[in-house]
Amino acid sequence: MNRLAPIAALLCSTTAIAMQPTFSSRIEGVRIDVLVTDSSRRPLRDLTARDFVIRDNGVLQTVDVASFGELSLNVGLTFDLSDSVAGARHEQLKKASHALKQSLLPADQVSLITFNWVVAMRCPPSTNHACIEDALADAKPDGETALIDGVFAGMTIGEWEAGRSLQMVFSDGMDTASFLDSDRVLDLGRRSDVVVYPVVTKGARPDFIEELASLTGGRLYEVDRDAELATTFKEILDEFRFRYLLTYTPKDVQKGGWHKLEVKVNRPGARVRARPGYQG
Amino acid sequence: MRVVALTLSLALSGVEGRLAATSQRQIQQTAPALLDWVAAVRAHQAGESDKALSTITAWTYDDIERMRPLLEALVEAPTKTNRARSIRHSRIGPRDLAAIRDAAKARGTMDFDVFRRRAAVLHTDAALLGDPPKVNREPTGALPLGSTRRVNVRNFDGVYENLEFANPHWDLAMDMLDALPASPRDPFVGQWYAAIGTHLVQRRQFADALVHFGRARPLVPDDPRVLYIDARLHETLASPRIQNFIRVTTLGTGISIQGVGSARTELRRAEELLQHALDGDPSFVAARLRLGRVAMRQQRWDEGLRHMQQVLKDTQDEALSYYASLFAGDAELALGNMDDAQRSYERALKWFPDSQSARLGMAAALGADGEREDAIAAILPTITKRPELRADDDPWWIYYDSNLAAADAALERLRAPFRDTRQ
Repeated sequence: MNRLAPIAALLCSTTAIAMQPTFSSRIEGVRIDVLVTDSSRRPLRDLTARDFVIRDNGVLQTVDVASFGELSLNVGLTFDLSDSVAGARHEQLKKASHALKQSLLPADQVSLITFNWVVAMRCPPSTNHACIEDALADAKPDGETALIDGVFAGMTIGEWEAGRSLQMVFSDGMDTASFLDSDRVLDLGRRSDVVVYPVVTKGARPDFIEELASLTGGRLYEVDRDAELATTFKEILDEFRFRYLLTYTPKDVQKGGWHKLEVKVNRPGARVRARPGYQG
Repeated sequence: MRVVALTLSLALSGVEGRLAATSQRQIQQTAPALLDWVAAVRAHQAGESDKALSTITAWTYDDIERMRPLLEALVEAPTKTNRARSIRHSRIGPRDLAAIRDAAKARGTMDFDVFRRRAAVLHTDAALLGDPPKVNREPTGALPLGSTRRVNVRNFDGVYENLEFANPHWDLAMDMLDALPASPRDPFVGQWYAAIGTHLVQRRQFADALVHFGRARPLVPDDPRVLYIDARLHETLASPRIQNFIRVTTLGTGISIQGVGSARTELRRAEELLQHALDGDPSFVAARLRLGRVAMRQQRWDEGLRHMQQVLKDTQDEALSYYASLFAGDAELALGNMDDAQRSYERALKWFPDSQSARLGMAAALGADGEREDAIAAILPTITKRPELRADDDPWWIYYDSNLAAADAALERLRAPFRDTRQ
């Protein structure tokens, strides 16, 4: 999946929500979204392509581009709006989304997918950040939890644009209604460029969600109190903004199959968080 | 969309304290209560909240416990063990025996088996139409050891809601069925267990359903309808909805949920029952569909796929064809046959064009094939539709629940002969 074939601009028509999504072109190559921090978990901001060492299935590669803070973000929000979220938790989710909006830059694209048993794209990817708050204000949580279906749809839509894609998933419970099984989401995670940051409430950690975060180079957050949602969302966005996007053209490795990735940085004490591999 | 809490049975161990469910007795003397009951059985119009029914639904939980052995004796329900016989005798005094004799006379000329069936319908309607019997307090988790009262756990969307006592009218209805002729088995018994089992599964009353089928098995062991619904119960108990709830829910020290095995155990149980149902009725298409799905859930994809292909040959039913196409897509996807998977999901979409599940499956197949833009295009038509307009778009959402219309129709067929009080 990371071997990016050029994609012609496509137009899709939809009915209920008027929009005409456009798929942007992608370049041939492998992209890796990488977080580099020092021993105090502060992002290292002055690295160049020469500071990174990448091995693809053990074969040393040449990093073509290492961009940092230059690209706008595609922030996908996939939120649980099942019955268990109704009430105070929904209010906190709205507040957290407001806080998140304050941290977005004008060029950042944002989308909102919600799920109970129905998966719904309430805001298609756009720079209309206000859509998120409006949609959450209108929504009424009820029904059961199709977490896997929701995450799968969120990640699929997260591939809409070629930029850097963050998928922030919020859920307060276990899956009770999905059609897809977790293998499908994990399979997508191996092929996708989308980085998944799940946020779950204490005690409601589905088996697959931590593995998904790890597979995509993201991180799982577990909140004790709903009031922590706002700071958690903002922390995730800040962390994601300070990641590097590395691009390289694979050399001397076979196409297809699972490619194990090793990413290192030539700086003492540097900590690297990146996806462990990709499906070729 | 329906919002229905589901219930599971609760096991209590190492309990202390006193019974939390005492209720004030309405019945002071058993003789007039028995006569009222006989009159109610004779007069009740099935499916109606009539005066006869209200006589019975006014009984408190304590009243029912007091009356149950008397009613069993009155309809001559068999006691299956010496212990049960001993318990019944210990609860029936000499005055009660006289009252039972008088009540039996009050039955008049009504055929005894018709009377028993009517009694079963009366308590069925008490459970379905009446409020639950009164208790002073709902259970808190502390019951005396040896209590026969069943406690159910209510939960919704994977979240614990409360404990509640099981409705004892179900037990009374089954007691009446026990009294019907065993050889040959009265056909009403199988009809009742199939219809009420369908209702309980449809209403997600799994705790009651477990007891229900536990009592059905020795009475109607080979009835394909009963076997099928029993299998659906176990298929549901194997689902993430139930297994995840059990895994993460803590109800307190000494309390655990009982009657539900691991997903693997429940799937095996469902498989046995479905195979048994198909042995009795090889043309039972719905049972074959479930058997195939259960095989797939145990990673036997080829076997499951063969069942789905057979279902598609054997039926024109819209929902069954949709499910078979959808699950065939799953099997093909798991087997790595992406083109065949896409064709199966496309076929499912012919039946339900806005099915979210079929479109997600399609996106998974396309994505695995490297067609990422087509994968996005596959799901857009469904996820961009307004959520509130989509309740009937995807039968997957009710796969684990019985079809509501089918459950209601089965109940109606059960009640129909008892609308005329002369029967």
